Amino acid sequence: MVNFVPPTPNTSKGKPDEPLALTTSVAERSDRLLRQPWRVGAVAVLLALLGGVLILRLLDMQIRLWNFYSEPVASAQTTSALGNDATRGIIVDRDGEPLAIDRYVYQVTATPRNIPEDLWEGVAQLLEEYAGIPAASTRATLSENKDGYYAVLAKELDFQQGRKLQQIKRQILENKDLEDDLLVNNVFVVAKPLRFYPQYRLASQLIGFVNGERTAVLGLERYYDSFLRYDGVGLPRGKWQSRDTLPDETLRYLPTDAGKSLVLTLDRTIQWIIEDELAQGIEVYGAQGGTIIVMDPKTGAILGMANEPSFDPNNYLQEDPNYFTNPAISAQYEPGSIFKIITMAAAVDAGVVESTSTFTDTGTIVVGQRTFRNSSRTAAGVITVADALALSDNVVTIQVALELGVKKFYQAVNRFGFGQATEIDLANESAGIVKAPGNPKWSEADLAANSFGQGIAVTPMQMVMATGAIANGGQLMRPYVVQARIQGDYVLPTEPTVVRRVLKPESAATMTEMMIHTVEAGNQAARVPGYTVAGKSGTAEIASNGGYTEKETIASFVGFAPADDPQFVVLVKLDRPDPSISPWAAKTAAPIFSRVAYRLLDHLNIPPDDIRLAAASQQ
Amino acid sequence: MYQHSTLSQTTIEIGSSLTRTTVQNGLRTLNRLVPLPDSFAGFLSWALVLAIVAGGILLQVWTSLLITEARMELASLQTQHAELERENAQILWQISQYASLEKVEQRARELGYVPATQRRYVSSGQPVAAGANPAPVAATAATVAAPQSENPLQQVEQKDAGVFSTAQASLQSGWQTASERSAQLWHKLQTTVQMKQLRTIVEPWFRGS
Repeated sequence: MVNFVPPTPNTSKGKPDEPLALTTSVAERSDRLLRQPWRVGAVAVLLALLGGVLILRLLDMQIRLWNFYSEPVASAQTTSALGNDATRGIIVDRDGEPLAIDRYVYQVTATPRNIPEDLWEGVAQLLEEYAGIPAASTRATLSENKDGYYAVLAKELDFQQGRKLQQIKRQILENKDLEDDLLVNNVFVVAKPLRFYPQYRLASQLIGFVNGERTAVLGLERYYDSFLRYDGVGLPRGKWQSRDTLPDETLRYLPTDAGKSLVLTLDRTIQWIIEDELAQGIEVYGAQGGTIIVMDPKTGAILGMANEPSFDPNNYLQEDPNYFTNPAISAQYEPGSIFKIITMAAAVDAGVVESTSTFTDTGTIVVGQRTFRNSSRTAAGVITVADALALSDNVVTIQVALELGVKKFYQAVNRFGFGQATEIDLANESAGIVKAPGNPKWSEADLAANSFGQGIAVTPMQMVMATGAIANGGQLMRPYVVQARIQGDYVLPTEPTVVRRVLKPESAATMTEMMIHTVEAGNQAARVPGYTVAGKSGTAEIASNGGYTEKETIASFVGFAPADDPQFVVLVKLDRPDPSISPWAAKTAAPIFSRVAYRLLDHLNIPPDDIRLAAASQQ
Repeated sequence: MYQHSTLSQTTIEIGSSLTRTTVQNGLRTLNRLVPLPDSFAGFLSWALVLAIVAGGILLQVWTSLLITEARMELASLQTQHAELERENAQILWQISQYASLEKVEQRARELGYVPATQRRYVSSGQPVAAGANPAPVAATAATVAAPQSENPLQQVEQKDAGVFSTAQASLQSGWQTASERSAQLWHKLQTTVQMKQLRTIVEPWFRGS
């Protein structure tokens, strides 16, 4: 046996053997200890103690805390909606009024094959007592699906009833009464979100909707689907700000934790006004449909976008699917004379004409072997460019376009954004159609037709955007509908985007003057008492297989107010107004514009010119 | 008695010895089955390795238990969160149902309100009308529109305008009166001060004389 402590030679004084004897004694004791069989016992006891602690803890979990970890109760507690059934972000207008929210109902399902027939009555009575589900209906469903794994006993149970039923189920499971357990063990109560649009038809085509499978269909719901979904992407990169930067009014209904929300530029009251006026206008003028768009020209923010006919997104299954799309961004039409402002703006900006330049209108003009006439079939004689715009003179407009030249004209058309999507944040936008030189079907006659808005297809949104550039001193702004995206405590505001400068400021000012003159001298029905308004009407003939027909027109008016400091651009478009009442925009779309502008000025609290300008001069 | 107790004690001793022997035999068997190092250093190393392995297993199992516990707690909290979310959604749904503009308009009409058609702006103390409301679309389509005088709002506005102008006239009149009165008071005060000053000059002169 080897000693633990090897004997060391002791060179100190005194008894040299004593330390060696002590070492030997310790070594012997250790040796003896090591030979003792209890040491393995000690190890075993130690391990048993450790194991015992674990076993005690497991017993604690399984006996004392069984209720917490019990599978059925746990699953009953955790029937939270996930995946497609999870909460979707809400949408509010710029004042925080809810436009799209989620509400909850409960779905009651069962596994009939696991429920013995003699318990059907008990299940039926239980569901009738606590959830108001008719017992007969439950019995019938269980009977029809007696071998099935899945049967729906109630599809959309009221929120309160559903919660009550869920609580009852939980109580029964916690009480561990075997008989009652059998009743509810194979009955499942699951919360199910439903998309709800509190404003019903208001802005329905702009917002879009979510169908029964929680799939976003069209509009904002579709465009921002990946953001609004529970499992969607978060805020994109950008200048995030604190949620507190938004006004309290906007935040009042928004979720406070990790919820997502969209704050729109839309003003619910403006939307209400334009939908009201559009509906009245369509009824009065016997039109088949129409569109009104209101945009802030300085930022491109869409304040309102109305279409008729529209639909109720809460009952989309009962509605005509043809009305689901948003014509304001997807309908292409020939704009007619409102396009003359683009021709004139391009010519003024190029320095080809001034508002006082004169032209001779002989009533007809031949371009590329096609003869063009004024819609009035009259000749105005020698008139200025400003008067030509006011009288909506086709012949003079064609002369201006010819003087501008093909290249500059189409460059201007392109610069104003026609023939390309505006990139507004809405799904299903159309780009319009511009038949330009280079296209084999293009001829010089197309230049003449395009100059007064025929032979070219635009969307109402493009027309508003282009007119907005004139109102905004020549800068074309990208339209947008979402003012801010919110996720939890962070906000990503949408910054207004200048697409490009399309006119020199002085050209924009000249065009504004010409459009004011147009309202004063040509489209008097568009005037708004107390305010200076700039605008232009346009009556476009609708192309058919046999050419254009005068009986079917699209009447539109585009304008802005107050002309000296534009706060909004409005486009009013009526599809096929009743020709027996009037096919002309000056008598249909223009008065609607007047009423809309008046109500908007009132709503936006913009005083009449005399008060506003007097106040400005005092400052 | 003595003998009996000695016997019992002996029996106990024998039993105890037997138990000890059994335990010792068991331990010896265990010792043979699990041969432990004979050296102290070896035993320590063996015990250390065993402690680490046992500790690791214990740690793993304990951590798993903690994770399970935390997971259940998290699930419970998520459920509570989901329930709160649903309650919030339910409340928002109820609010928004009453807040739709159709409902607001309907309620306002029930209460006797009519749509406002005209706003009056006031500048520099003078009321200025915003001008006549544009003719309604209905009127341009040869539909008979209600006479202006029958419009209750117009009547209210006319009444308001009347009240306003009366109030303004009264205010102007009051202001004028107040201004005049103020001027009179000021004049009186000035006169009083002047009189006092005059008295302070004149009195000593009279007294002295």
